[in-house]
Amino acid sequence: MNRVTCLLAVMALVSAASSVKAQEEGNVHVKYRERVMKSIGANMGAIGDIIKNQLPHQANIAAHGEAIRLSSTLITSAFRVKVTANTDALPVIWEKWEDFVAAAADLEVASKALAEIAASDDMTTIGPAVRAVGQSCGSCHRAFRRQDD
Amino acid sequence: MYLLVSDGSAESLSSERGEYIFRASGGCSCHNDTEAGGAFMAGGRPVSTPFGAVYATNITPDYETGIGGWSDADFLLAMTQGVGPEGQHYLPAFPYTSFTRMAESDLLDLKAYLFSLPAVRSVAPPQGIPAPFRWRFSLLAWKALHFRSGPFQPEPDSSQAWNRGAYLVTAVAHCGECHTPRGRLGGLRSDRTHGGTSADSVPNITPDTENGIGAWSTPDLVWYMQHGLGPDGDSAQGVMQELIDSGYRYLTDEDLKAIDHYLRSLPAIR
Repeated sequence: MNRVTCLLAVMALVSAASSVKAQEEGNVHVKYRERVMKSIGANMGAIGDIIKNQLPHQANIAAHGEAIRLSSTLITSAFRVKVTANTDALPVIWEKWEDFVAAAADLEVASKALAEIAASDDMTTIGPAVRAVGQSCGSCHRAFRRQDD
Repeated sequence: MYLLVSDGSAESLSSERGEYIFRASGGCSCHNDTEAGGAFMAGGRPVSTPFGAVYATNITPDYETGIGGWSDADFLLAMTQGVGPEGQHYLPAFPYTSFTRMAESDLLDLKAYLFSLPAVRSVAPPQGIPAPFRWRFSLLAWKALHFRSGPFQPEPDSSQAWNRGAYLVTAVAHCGECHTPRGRLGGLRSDRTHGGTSADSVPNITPDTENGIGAWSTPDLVWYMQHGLGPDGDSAQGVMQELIDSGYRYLTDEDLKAIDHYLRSLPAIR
């Protein structure tokens, strides 16, 4: 192996290693933001289970709503680092960052309202409040998450 | 969206019933060009097919650009035979293939509802389907191969709930138009009815426990159709979200349970 070939081989290895490292770094960011988003889904699923199965945990809905609100305040921080590989997050998040921030703020407002309604005695309006949170999830996903279809 | 104040007349009652049918169809969402902010039911929305883009038509009662000049017979012919008032054959992106199973009374109620909407003047772009697929001859051949017309026939040995569910799923809500994969010529594959499509990731809604809705409970499915939220708390995706928002969520618990009941009776497709 002459020196040039050797040098090229070393360069290729270094570049491969650094791209693996970049990929891993990307993956930890993706992993974290997925955890934040999944915590929202888990609480949303819990609220759904309580209502649709009439579980004796109605008093917990307010706390689940509050948990969604808290997680919603972490979204912009979780997505600040732009990583577009191996993720359903679309690049448009960083292209239209202000819209993305507004969508996260919208979830905060909707989940706050849900938590407040759940904490009050008036459970008749809980359905629309849950739907409002769901619509907030859905419209943000529609704009910023890869669609399956 | 459009609250109808009933004056108790036969026409107004028909339009009220028609609004429910409209909801059960998913709010005829393809006729809303949501992305471009188009007027309600005024069409123009591109619906992608493997053969090219099909633009939804204007179904507001505008006389010239919508369906305002249509008679009851025109409407029934379009919905059940896929044939327009001038004898033109529609592309099967318009799911007359399912609507053909609808009861005539439901179709006329639906027409009464559509005719109660504000008329909007709007012409859809020309269809993006290339020849030979849009030729009259091709559409006739396609119909001969893939289209069976005629209203839904209830199964006398099955329960009322099952029959109601079957009617809603296969006729009004036209679930199979997206959830059943299509063959090379765009016909629905009867061996994979409601089995989902891998090409554009439409989910399997048969009772298979792994790939279908088998692991969902009845309350899970009803909740999903009412709120657009799956058992894992995630939102419904894409077109389904729209169909729920503007249509399915208005269905009664009884109808949603009937849909669930029927879907669970289907053979599980893996």
